[in-house]
Amino acid sequence: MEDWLLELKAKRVDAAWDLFVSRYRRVIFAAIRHYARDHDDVMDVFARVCEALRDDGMRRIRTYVDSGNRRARFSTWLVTVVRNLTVDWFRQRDGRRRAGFADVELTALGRAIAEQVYRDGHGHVEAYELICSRDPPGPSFREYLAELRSTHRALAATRLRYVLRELAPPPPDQDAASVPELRDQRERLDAILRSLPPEERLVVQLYVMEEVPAAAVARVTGLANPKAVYNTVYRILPVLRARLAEAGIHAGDL
Amino acid sequence: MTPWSTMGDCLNDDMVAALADGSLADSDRVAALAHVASCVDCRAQLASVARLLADPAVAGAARRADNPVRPWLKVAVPVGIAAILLVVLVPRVLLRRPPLDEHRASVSVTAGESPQALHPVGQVAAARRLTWSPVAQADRYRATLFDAEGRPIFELVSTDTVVSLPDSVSIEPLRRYFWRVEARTAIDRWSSSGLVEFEVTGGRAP
Repeated sequence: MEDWLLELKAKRVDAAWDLFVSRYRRVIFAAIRHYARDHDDVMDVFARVCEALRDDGMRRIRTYVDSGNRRARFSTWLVTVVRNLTVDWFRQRDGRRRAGFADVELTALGRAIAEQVYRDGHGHVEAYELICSRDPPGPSFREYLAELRSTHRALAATRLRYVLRELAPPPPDQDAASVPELRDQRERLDAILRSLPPEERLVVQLYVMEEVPAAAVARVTGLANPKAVYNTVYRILPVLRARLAEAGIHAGDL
Repeated sequence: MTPWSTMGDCLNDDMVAALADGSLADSDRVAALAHVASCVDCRAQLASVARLLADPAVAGAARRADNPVRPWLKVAVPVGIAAILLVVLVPRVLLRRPPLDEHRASVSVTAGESPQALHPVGQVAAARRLTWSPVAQADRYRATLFDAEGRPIFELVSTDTVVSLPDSVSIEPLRRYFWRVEARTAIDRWSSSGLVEFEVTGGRAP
């Protein structure tokens, strides 16, 4: 058994923590630096991660190692936890500031979008409806989409750019005519995707839509290798395109 | 027991990590993937973790943390490498026979600025230290003491311009000794003082 685990089992938390940090410090920093490049941000997130992991006698770690059915490598579990804490830290940091995203120059609508979409994690359409309900009648959907893209560009030019994708999906490139049309397109797309077997659907979702590397998709889905991922995707995509065309959805609509 | 059995529940960190790791049993993975395929939040989190694990910096750090170098290996590896180099290189150096036209000495002693032996020189009352003049470019000096028959009885390399003779070196009165000092002014370049003679008079300074 590893030295830090032995100390943890013996309830010598200080010693366990020192050994734990010594061994996993680089993993934690590497995961944080994936999202935060500013030195002050990195150190603040690291302090937050340490605080969360050290809290209550390393309760979170104890719970994981004591559970008899853990299946991932410890380092993978740790990376997962650090990822969640990092994304939460970015949301909360900007949430703590009254104005939210205070470093970024935004219009009033842009600020509302930033708060609804990037801080609170609402979907694009949901955020539009919330903004309209709070300050009726609100912007048109076309105006909202234009401002959403502008806000996304403004945030992408700041220190948030590396974590932006984790805070919200990118805005659509094309102007949709209205909320119902966008919803309708989305529902038709979902229905077509749902017609695929779950494993194949997930391969397309992860590789094409989420841009996960093929090797990682293969590992997640249990496919033999990246080539199997390519084969699956290139077999399914023509079928999907044909079904989307039948449903009246073309490449420019998405 | 399947700890994750409720299809309606979202995945916890353990399950997301296990999926991203590819370490779930087939039965668990099928159920979890079915959920992920239909749950936007879990899919986004899983994709995010998978992208994060694919980052070479994260993957490298995780690999090193999972397989740490044992403390004894940190010592053993350099020592092993040094031992191999010693075994391979030393015989090659010692057994190397220089070609006939090669200069016999690979170390050159130049006639540039040389150190001057200052003390002891000639008849002296005591000689427990050897002192010489400094040389500007020298980074170290090598002092050698010989007995009357020319046998070296003491040698020391120093960065200073004075060395004390250890107690093990006995300087007997009224016997002749010789010493010289060499200054290293570059790699394998030494400049030498002349060989000087001295004799301890036993308390009588001349």
